[in-house]
Amino acid sequence: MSTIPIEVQDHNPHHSAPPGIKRWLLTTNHKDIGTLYLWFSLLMFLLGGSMAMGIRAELFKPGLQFFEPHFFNQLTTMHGLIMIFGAVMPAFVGLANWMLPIMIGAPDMALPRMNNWSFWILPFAFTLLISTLFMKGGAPDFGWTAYAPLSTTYGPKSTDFFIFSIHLMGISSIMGAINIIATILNLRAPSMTLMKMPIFVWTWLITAFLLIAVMPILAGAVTMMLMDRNFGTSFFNAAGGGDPVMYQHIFWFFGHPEVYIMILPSFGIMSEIIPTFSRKRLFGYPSMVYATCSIAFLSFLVWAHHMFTTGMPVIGEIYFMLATMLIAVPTGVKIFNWVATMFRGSLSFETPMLFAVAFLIMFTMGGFSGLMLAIVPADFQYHDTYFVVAHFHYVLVPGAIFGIMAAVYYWLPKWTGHYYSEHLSKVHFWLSAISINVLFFPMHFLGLAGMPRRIPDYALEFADFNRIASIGGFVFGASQLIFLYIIIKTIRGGEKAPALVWEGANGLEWTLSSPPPYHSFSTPPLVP
Amino acid sequence: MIKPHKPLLIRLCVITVVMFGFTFALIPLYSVFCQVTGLNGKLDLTSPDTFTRYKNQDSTLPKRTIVVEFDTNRNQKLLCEFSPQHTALQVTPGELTHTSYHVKNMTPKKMVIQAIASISPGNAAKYLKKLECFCFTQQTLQPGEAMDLPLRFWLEPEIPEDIYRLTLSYTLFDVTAHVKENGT
Repeated sequence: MSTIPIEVQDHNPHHSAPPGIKRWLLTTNHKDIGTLYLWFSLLMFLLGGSMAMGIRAELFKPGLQFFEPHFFNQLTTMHGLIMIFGAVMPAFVGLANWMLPIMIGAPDMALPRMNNWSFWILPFAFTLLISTLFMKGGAPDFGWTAYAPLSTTYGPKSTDFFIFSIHLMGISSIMGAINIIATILNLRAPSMTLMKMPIFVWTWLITAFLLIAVMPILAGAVTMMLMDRNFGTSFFNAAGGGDPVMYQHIFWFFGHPEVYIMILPSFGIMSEIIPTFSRKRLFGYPSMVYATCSIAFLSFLVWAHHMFTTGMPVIGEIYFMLATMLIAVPTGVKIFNWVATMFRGSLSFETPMLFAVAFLIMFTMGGFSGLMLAIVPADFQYHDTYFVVAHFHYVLVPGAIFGIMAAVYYWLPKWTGHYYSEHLSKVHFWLSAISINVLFFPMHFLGLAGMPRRIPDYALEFADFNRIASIGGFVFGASQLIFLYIIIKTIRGGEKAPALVWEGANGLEWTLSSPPPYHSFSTPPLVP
Repeated sequence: MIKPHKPLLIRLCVITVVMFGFTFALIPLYSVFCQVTGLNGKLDLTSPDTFTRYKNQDSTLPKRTIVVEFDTNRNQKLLCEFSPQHTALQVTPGELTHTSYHVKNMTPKKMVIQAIASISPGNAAKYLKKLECFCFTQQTLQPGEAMDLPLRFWLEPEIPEDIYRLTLSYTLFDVTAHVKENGT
């Protein structure tokens, strides 16, 4: 797809940004809001990451070093919640805000004022969540899954604050998703048909539908939790005729689509970056679209594979095992298409491409350990061990997080008008890619040997692998400070980037100057 | 030129609201699903009207016995004695069996208790019928009071042949706080 460069529109003085803090508080500009989302998620990534450093420091050797077990549980809970709802999801929404309008030739998001609102809810939601750490009785300590009765009967007082912060995050995500769907369906340039849209736009469209389908379910689950805790209902209390396992069903009916919410936009990013640095068109565009749709559809049918050990009947276990394995098929189609795109391409390995290749390899490893977990008899051994921790960190860190980092490096010259330092970013990449394997790979062995997850202390035989993992963790944590430094340095200056930042890139965003004008595509561009 | 947003927004909001409502609808749906399929070993908490098949009339079914084990649990370190009269019984399907449980309040306070039954393997649940069970009602125990709680049940003759041993488990819950709240 080649595009016709268009003139930079001069903008209406009435619509230029107000100065100072008001620009950020009152902004309805998709680029400003995208920037806010991205900074917010980076802040949360560093906060959640520092909690992970605490966890790894505690697990560096057997015995209790720094934290008492109760506080350790609060750390694992908050680490999970902050990383999922604070780092990964807002980062993707930020990328959507920045890129979707300029990828489909829209002047802005469809609902700019709601866009402002959905961002500014987040700081309040997370202030509420993080404030629980300082409350009497401590923060939520039941893991991010908040299983009943841990969260209902035994939850600390602060659980109610956790519930309301989840409500706020849900409202924010749903509004963001509605905005994205409206933008994609209504504001595309006239000649931009659905099957001409960049894959990143496609994956976000499907993700947004997943969001409006499942975030209300999470809201419902925590509302029931609130009622059980405060209003005498017994949704999850067996004494009153309820069922604690019911909570797990509802939670995972949300939770499984949620994991695809966190990975589909990354798939989209890969489908932008790999063709650019292979200097080829994406292999199998339609199959990418259909594979994404089928992954999203199947994600609603597999939730109970998180619950094999709850005493499900064998027939249920067999169904959920087979349905789960079926997801490997469309995912395999995607991996195949990316590899086929690279095949006989004129490859170059700038930092975004390095992250993309690392994503391909390590996400596939995480996918394979997922298939191992899908096997019911095997899962009875792996369940709630470090093998599970290794699996979901392999899909989330080199999957979702590397996807986000690849996107940041790929589009940072477009956003700021400056190239980042290729040398420093390669240091960041290699430190991250190596340390992440030192960090998470030994966890597979720990899990297979029987180390349970969410414990502050462990048997002596697990000491060596835990020490290796902790060292990897500290290196990974420290190398993210390089990332922060690179971003700040690039914003402040650097080699000037032209409109077409990467010579192999295709798409409307590359027809705009770098950085793009505050208001772009006021008249729709032509897409051939 | 630009399409109106309103129809789309209304549809998207409807999806959101419907999915929120669907979460609450899942609760009864789950119960119905489990009752129809008998998948999770949940027993019917209501008493059947009559015991119509007291004698095994159907002579085509071979006579056999099934071992029923009686298991008791107390929730949340409940300060109560709770034990079955028999730990296991040989039961002939189609015949009424009588047993009882002993319960004693070990606290100096009045206590309202509720027993919840569960059966394993789960697919046996719909063949176990209870004529009289203390789990149908709540019991009020005065401080130090002891009680014998009766249980009369039968197994339907159609119970699958691969079931030769099953466990009937009761968990005792303290519902004093709930009863006070609801004022009943």
